[in-house]
Amino acid sequence: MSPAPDMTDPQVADLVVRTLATKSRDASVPAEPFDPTRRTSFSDVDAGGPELMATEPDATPSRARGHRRVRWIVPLAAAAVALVVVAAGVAVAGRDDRDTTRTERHPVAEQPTDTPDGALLPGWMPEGLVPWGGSWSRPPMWSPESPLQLFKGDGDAVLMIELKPDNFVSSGGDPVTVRGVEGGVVPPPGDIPDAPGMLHWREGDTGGSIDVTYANMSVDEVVAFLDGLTWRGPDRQDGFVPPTSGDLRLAGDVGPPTSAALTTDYLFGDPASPPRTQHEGRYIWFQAQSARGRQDAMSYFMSLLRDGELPAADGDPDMQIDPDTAVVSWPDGRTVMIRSRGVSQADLRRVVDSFAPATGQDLDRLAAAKGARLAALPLVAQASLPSATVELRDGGGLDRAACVHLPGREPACGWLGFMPDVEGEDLGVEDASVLIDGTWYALAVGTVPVSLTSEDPLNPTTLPLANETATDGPYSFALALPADEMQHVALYRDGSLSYYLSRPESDYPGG
Amino acid sequence: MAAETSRAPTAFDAVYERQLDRTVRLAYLLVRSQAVAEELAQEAFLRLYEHFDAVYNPPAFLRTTVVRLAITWQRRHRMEQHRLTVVGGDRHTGAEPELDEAWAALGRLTAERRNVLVLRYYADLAYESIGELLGCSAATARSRARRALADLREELER
Repeated sequence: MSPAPDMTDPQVADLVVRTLATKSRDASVPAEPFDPTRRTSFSDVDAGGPELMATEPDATPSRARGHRRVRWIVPLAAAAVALVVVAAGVAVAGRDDRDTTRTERHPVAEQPTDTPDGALLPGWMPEGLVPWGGSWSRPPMWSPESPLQLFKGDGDAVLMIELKPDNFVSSGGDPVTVRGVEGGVVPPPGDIPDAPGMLHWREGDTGGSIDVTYANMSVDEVVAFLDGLTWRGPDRQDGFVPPTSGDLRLAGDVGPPTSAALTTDYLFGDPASPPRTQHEGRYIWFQAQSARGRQDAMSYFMSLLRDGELPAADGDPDMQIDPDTAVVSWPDGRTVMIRSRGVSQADLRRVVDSFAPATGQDLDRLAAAKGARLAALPLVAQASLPSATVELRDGGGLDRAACVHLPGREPACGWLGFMPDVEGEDLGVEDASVLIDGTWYALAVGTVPVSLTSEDPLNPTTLPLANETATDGPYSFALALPADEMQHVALYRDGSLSYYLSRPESDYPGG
Repeated sequence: MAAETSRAPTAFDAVYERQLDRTVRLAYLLVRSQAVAEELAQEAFLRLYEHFDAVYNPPAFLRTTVVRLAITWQRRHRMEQHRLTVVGGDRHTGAEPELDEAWAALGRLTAERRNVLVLRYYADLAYESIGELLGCSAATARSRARRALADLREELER
């Protein structure tokens, strides 16, 4: 049937809507995880300069970064590039990560201060919902935590300096001479009002690149301003002495952040209506992130470029709640995302309002309740290995647990679980990564052969990793006790790398 | 006590997980080629990956990047685009025949007019946002959309 020739504009528009919606489903979406080493034929294309920030105000809130499949999947092909970039990042993380003191070396403006530290947990849950699964973690640091200096002119001119640490070097752009050395500059695109440009250079024998993001200034004005700056001292990470004359004045100044973000990722379910998959039962799932120093400062400073003003650091959170979803983001960088099923909107709002930094005791209680539930799931397979008895427990659907069971102890279990709005792929593999008396037990169990190796793109090692293996019916078990210096192990499924397990968190930095 | 591990999520992973689908599909509607759409999406995510800390709004960044890359591709490869449209862009899906006809008619529009329809009626963007993406005013974007609908009606009547 052909479309009628006398269609009105709304009818044609409706046809377009239906056509595009239908045809968009013809596109197949790659199943592979993101590979940062796979370059494309478009790498030389200037896409108009949105590289630094979005320009559209109508999209998803910036902090609503959503959530992800539980498993951290890093393709082998990604390792080569990841090593170069991330190994340095880990060195930085290793220096600062465990300190919970948030220091701002040169507080000038109203940038976030006194941010509540600590993993965020709800203080209230609707009746009947109990801890089902989940954990807290420190996300790995993939980028440097650099000091920042923000300068603002009387008009719209804005300039932000990022002092990258050693080993982080920027490149690219048109050649530009700044402070007597050659750097690179990517001017803002001409067709986007207030879009930022970027300039970078290296100075002296030590230190990484100095990156500048600017808006509403010409390259000549930027270079002139930078040429006039003097260092505060021999440590370049201390930044520049703020100029006392000229148009641009210091508007914000933060040293390296000394606290790491903490993520909580938990499911609370109703035993009377168990959530065996995301499509059944009654539950509340949430992922929350505590504030993170430099990244939050940068986002906060970037708001000056985007909006022309800095929001109040202690302002109200941006909150969106619909019948089963809530997304909350605070100006200081804290975020909470919730998905629920079978929970009233009023209760959901009450949960949202109850989020607060957790104590170590809070997390211990949560882990104990969750652990007891997993250890009570029906046992479907087990094997005795030299270091421990290993088990597979199955509550139906995706409610499965792999457990390490030491004599005289309760089983310590990992949970497969699900993400509410992600159709998780059931790999036929379960794992547990647990600390028992300071020893890391990494366990894989699957309906295909499984093994664990010491591969770790973040902390390369040549140390071997012995596997204790066994089978029980259709299930294969592999257990390893990684050395203290190992932070990740690779889980192989049927000969192919599936994902990595991380050393369990043990030293909660909160109160 | 025994502590269960987290499997180390990253913020970028979360964005990739959530935005890949819509990024590829938007690219596909703009360029009408699966292979090119995947390339455009990969490039957009590469750029996001490289500047992730500086990007305030990842979904908008991805959309902006993929639209502009698609426009660049359309300009550079008009001939290739034509061939792709003929070879692979008019796949019939077995859905309503009028949708297949409309899809083919959309493919006969100029890229400029097709783009504005995709951004308005698939991405559901306001004309202000479309104007920003296409480098024109909101009024121009609205005008282009009106002309695009008129052109499409003519194509459908052929």
